[in-house]
Amino acid sequence: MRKTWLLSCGIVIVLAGGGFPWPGASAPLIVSPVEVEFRQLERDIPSLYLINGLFLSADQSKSLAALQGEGKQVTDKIRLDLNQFLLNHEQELNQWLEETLQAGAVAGKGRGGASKDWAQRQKVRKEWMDLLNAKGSDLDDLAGKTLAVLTPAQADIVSRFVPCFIPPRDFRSPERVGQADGDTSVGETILSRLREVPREKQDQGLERALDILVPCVMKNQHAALTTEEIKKLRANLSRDLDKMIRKIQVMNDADFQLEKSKLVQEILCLEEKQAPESDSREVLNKVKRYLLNPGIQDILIRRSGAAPASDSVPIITQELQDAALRERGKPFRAVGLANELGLTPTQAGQLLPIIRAVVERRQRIDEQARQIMQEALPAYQALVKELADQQPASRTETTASRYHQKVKELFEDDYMKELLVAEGQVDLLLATDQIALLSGQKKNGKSKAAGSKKPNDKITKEIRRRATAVFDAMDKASDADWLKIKSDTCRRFIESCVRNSLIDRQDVDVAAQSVRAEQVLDKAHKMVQTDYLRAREDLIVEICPRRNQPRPAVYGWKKSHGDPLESLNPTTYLLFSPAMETVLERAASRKPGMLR
Amino acid sequence: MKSIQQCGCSRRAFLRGCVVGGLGLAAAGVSAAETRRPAAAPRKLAPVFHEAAFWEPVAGGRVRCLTCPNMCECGEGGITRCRTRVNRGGKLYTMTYSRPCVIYVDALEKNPLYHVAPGSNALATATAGCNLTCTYCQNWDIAQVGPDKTRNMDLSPDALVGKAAERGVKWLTFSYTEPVAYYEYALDAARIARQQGLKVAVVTAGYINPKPLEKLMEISDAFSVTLKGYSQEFYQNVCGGNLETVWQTLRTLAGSGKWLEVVTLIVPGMNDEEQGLRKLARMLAQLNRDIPMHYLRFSPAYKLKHLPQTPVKTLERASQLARQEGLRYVYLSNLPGHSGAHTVCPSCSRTLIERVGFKVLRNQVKNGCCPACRFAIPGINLG
Repeated sequence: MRKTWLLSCGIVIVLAGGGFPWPGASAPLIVSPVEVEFRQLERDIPSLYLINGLFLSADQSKSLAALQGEGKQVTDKIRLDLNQFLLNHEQELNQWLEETLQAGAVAGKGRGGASKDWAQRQKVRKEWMDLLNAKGSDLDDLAGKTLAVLTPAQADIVSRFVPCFIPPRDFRSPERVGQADGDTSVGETILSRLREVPREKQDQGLERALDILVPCVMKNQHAALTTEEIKKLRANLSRDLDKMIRKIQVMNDADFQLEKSKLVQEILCLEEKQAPESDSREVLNKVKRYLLNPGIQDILIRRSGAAPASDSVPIITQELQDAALRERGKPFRAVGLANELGLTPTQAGQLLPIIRAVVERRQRIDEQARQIMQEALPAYQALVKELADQQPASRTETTASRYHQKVKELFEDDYMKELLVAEGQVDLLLATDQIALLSGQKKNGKSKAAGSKKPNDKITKEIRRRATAVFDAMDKASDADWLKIKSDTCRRFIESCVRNSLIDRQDVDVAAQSVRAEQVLDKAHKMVQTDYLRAREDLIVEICPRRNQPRPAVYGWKKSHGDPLESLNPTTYLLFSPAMETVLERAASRKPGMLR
Repeated sequence: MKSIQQCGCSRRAFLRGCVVGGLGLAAAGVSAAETRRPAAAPRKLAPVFHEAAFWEPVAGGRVRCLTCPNMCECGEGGITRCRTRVNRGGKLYTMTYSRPCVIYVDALEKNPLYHVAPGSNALATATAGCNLTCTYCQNWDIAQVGPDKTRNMDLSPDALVGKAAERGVKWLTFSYTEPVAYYEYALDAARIARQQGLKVAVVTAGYINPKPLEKLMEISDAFSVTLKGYSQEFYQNVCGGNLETVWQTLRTLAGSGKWLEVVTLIVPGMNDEEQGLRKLARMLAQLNRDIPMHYLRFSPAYKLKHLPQTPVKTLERASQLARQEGLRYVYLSNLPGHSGAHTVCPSCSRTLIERVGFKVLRNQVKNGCCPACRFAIPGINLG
């Protein structure tokens, strides 16, 4: 509950001027107007491709613009309400954040243990959740109303809409407005070429084809795969493709032309996708993001034959406020994550330089990105203007696409590389259960789709419970008895962690970890009583098993509002954030035992 | 340690691969055409020299093609304007017989034929060549070249019909380029198709002489005729044809009892004047108010890449004018999502057939009539 509370707080917290007593809170916010405008345009462009593909009538444009206006009102109201909420509870929130950080709530020990007024907190939390839920349900209602404005044909387009920045121009299936998924033309070209490749160059051709097809398959399936899994996929695909080459080489031209689309679907594992129900969450989310996008309201108003209001607050100003709100909430999310992980001061100290390096690198990437974004703005604005006139020129599209690609590469290639290296270092410092929590692993050890919103903390709790039992056993046993049972206890503890699928057996070297646990216990055994009692919680974390090697990196996509996104656990981004850097600085400066 | 290089590609290459693959290639339009047209280098498949159906000898070993109003006269080795017929030894031969460059299973709606078996597929085929030279040709890569420049298949009329039967489609269509350019192949294939119980649709610009048209009508069930514009200047300067001939074809078809739909692609600034569009619609309505009229949006292509797409408003206005002039079934056919693609009952205004792109979402026509007011909707196997 506390975790949810803190994470929820993280979404907004503090716009109300005063800020909270958080190191660096007085520093200027790092929310760049350029970036906010760039991101808004990146949302407006797919929205306009969709709207243009729907060919809304003037009446429909008018209705949709009105609904966007209502959506804006909902968002504005919630912003005001949240600000009021923050003003009303500013002191409490500040106090709780500080308490959480200082007094052990970071370890999540004992719900409300550190709190004197748990009931009051629950009340405030409920108020907070009600505010958020009200916004969600109001926007859902509006999305439903929006769908009602559309004809069945238009609703069908929306339900199948899979956005991408610049959509392909598919003349075969023009109803695939703005959609990147399910396209077989690339595969068809590849098959056509492979069919003609001379035998001596077949292997080379096959490898080249795989370079393109593997990501296609992953993308089509929204799969998130490790390097090992990608290797396997590549091998399987290679086998299938090899068979298919032999098949298509003996096919006559006519049959190949008639069959190639089906063959590509087979090789790319593309199935005929059923459009989701129009009232499904997926469709409602798309409607909220792309049709109820207030960024295109003025364009729709103009299309309806009216003039846009001149006194409306620019969308960028509002987006900037929301971005600032999100930015300022990050410390709460960081504390929430640290809380779940139960980091010891030693671990915090070890993590700090790694995280600091990534944060610095991110700042440099942000600077680079902002430069590109600044340059991109005129190109994006030109494309928006052309889309508003329903006349996008391919040259403008190409220019905009180039900037989009540049920024994407900075974040999804350069920054990702940094993150993966750093993640590997972190993996060797944290306990296996902490990593499982970071990566959102399920209890059965299978990896959830990366990006899981709710990391399962049951593993952590269970392992900590067992580790505590080991220390209890040591405390109760006489020195002589402890010497006799020490090795066995440690081995049984480690084994119990990997048994019952708490942790993957292959991730842990049982023998080595048993020895390490013994060493920790020896150290504890030699401590004077007061030091031992203070450090006991840290030592419990220390005997928990470590991984043999870092987690395998995961590549792929997941669906978010229909967008294909790079697959990396959101907790990883939070772990390597300036907010977490601050949390760890505070945590590392405490003596052992203080954090827990 | 955690690099994707292990599996043979860098992260950047991986992402690029995804961009190339997943985002549909920068040239997705090109790759879409890929499905219709043969790729890359044309494979040399010797032409089958099949005697042309309509020609006459002229003095000095020259021959005259009588298939279309171009009436090309060729000396020995000379090739007709459509690039598909050649004078060999004083006889006119077609070079496209049994040499299609496209074969595909497509929705009939793509032709467009909206009043013919809605939602049905057809085996569509074409060879290279066209007897017109439209500067905005949307299939210029196969229509504005001869069969020596395309990659062709070896497919006799028999085999072509066999492919349709194998795939269980009930319609054979000749489209993409111009059936007049591969008249002999189309004629034989259509004849065999009819014998085997298939129906035949012809998608043409209607630039054909009366006798060949008559023969083609005998073995066809439906026609989709592109009426390129409303002025002779446009036909002459932009298409290299003659407007009156096409009207003659339309008159013949309208009076023949064969199903007819008419298509006009509106090019901004070239054939989009209100007066002209009104005149075109009026003349068509005078032929028959029930002829479905399709307006298509121009996409910059071939020699008119510098022009913008047709504004939707222009198309909507054209549709409005056509209705005002009395046409009952007017469509905006390549604006997926636009309500102009639906079939609406002229009597009670009920939407009868809803379409998205080439897909029929809902067809409420019952026994060829509107289920609400029993108004008869003309067409073939409408539902």
